[in-house]
Amino acid sequence: MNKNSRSIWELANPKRFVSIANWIVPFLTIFTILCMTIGIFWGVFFTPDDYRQGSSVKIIYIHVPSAFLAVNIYIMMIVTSIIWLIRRHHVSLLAAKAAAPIGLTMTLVTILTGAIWGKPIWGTYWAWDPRLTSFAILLMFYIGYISIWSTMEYNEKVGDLSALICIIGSIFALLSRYAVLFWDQGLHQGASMSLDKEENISNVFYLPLLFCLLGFFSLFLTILLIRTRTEIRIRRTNSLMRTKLEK
Amino acid sequence: MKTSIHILKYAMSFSSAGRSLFLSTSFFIIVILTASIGMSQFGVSTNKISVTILWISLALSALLSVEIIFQTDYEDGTLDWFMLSPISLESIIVLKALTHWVITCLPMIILTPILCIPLGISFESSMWILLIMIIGTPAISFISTIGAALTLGERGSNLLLSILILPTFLPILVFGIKISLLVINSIYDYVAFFILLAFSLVCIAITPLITSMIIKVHYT
Repeated sequence: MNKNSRSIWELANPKRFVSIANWIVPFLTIFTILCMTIGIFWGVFFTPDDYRQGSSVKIIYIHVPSAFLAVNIYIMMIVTSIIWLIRRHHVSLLAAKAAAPIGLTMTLVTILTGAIWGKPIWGTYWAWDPRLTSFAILLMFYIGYISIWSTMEYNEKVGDLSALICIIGSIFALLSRYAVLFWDQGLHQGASMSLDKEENISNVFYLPLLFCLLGFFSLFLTILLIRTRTEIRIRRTNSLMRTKLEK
Repeated sequence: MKTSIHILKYAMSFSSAGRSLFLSTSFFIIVILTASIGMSQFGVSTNKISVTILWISLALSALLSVEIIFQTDYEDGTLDWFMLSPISLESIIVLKALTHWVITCLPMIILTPILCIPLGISFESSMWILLIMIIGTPAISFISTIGAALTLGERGSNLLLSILILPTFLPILVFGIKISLLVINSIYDYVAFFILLAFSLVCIAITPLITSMIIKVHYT
């Protein structure tokens, strides 16, 4: 392989990863603040009320991006876990470890905002609708993944176990989701924005939502980079301490 | 050939089988009796709750007795010996799971028609529930081996085990509970019945592979 060729695997070097993260985090922070301010202010103050739902519709500017992240962070964790199992890059494993609490928070935010919206519109905080059930299932698998890290000390064996748990969890989460979907299709409306459909929600709501999605996504990236950097430093400190103790 | 049979026979003998059988069955009986005494305060029979309690307590007592599968083998070195033996680890895991099913799930399934009386489920539907449990519970035993392998070498990790494994029982529990409820209301949904069977068979097919992967992680 050409020594000068640049590839994504360069980031597998913890030192290189930290230096790139150091460089990129300030820009991402500014970008996040800009996007979220524009998106949320525009969405909350400068869009008309919905003709049926009134002002409560504005909660979608938090609900939709966090739901989008909650699902996609788990997918990201599966991908990084598989990369860890195949290529044994510690950064990949540490990224999965760092992403899990963010995903858990996003799941909780989704459930909470959904409950606040559901009370006036559906008349209930919680219903056993398939989509809501999927989020309850997601919550359980996030808790499972985090608990295996919190009970055991960091080493390669625990890394393997947590990666396997993440992959097994995804299989059973999907199975559970379709088991629940088998009997009823539920109360929750379908997706109102997608790339392949003719009719999306109207542009008045669509543009600020796009800003919010972008803002939440870069918020996730920022926190993920900071947390992964911290995990790398913790790991380095621990190995330094161990070598010092052995001497 | 003779050695293989000997190894397989050895894999099926659990040192603490009798104690575990007694404990898991007692746990099942105690949970159901406590719950039905609590429910009797309603004054009306609530089939939805009783069926759920039946399945959840079955899953919990199968899960909590999972330590017998690998724990002693891991501690006295038998598991190392299994890994060195000419028999593949997967087939040993299949045998272990089947033995676990016979020791913990089968007694509970046999007790189910009797325990349906305090729960207020009629005898005819309890026989149907028994059949559904025979179809569904092998999956519970097989999935439990994943948990047993995960918490290998860590005594007293029952809580972690429940957190990790109980959510994976969901497909089986959802279908088992729903079909049992339908049967109580005299609706026989054969499609759902076969899907439960399919879930069970899928679990039997894939979990030995996953479990052997996890056990190998402990030995690298």
